[in-house]
Amino acid sequence: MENEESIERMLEESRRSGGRQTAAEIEALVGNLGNRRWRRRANRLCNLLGIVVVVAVAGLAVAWVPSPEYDSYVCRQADASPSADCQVLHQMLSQR
Amino acid sequence: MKRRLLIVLLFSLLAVGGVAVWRWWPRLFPSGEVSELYRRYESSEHIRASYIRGFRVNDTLRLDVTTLQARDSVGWERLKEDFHIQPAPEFYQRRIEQGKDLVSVRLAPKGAPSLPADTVDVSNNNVMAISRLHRTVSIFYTQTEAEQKAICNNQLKL
Repeated sequence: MENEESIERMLEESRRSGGRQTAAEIEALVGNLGNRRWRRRANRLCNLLGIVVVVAVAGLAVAWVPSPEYDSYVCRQADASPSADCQVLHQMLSQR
Repeated sequence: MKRRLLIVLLFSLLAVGGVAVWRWWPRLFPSGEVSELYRRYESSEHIRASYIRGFRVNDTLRLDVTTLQARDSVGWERLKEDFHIQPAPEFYQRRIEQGKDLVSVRLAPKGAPSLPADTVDVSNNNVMAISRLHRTVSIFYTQTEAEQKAICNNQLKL
C-alpha cells in the first residue's frame, strides 16, 4: 500500500518535474513492489507450514508417547514394587 | 530461515514434552487417594497392601485396584478368613504346588467384599480376583457391568 502510494507520489513528482524521473526508475520500483508481495506471501506460507509441522509433531507425540501401565501407585511398605504388583495382576488377568 | 527452523524445532520439542508430561503427570505426582481396603491392611505385618490407580486392564479400560498379598501363612490365613476363600480341591492344590496358578474371580459387593455378590444391582459390585499361587487378593473397582465383563473376557482369552 505504502509502495503504491509512493509510486503515485513519484509519478506526480515526475509529471511536475517534466519527466526527469525516468520510466525505468518507476518500473524498477514496480518490480520491487511485486517482489515484496511475493516475499510476504512466502513468509505467510512458511509461518503456516511451521504451525502445520508443530501440530503434526504434537499429534505424532500423542500416538507415540506410551501411556504408563498405571497412573499412580501407593504402598507405604518398604518392599513396595509397582512392577511386581502389575505383573501379578497381569498374570491374574491372563491365567485361569 | 534458520531462525524460523529453530522456532519450529523449539515448539515441536515443547509439544512432545507437553504430551509426555500430560501422560505421565499422575505417575510423577501421585495423588494420596487410597481405598478403604488399603487403609484397613496397610499397617498389617503379614499382608502387603498396595493401591494402584488407573491400572491398564486392556487398551481401553483402566481401573483402580487394591492388591493384598500375604507375606506369610499367617497373612494368607487372615485373607482367606476375611474374604471367605474356600480351600482349593486336592487336584488344584497339586497344581499350585507345581507352580501353576489357580485364579478365581468373583463379584463382590462394594464395601463388603466378603459378602455374596449383589445380584439386584450388578453395578454395585467390584471384581475380586484371588491367586492362590501368589497368595494375593486383588479388588478391581468397577463401575459398570461392561467393565466387569471386560475383566472376565480378558481372562477367558487363554
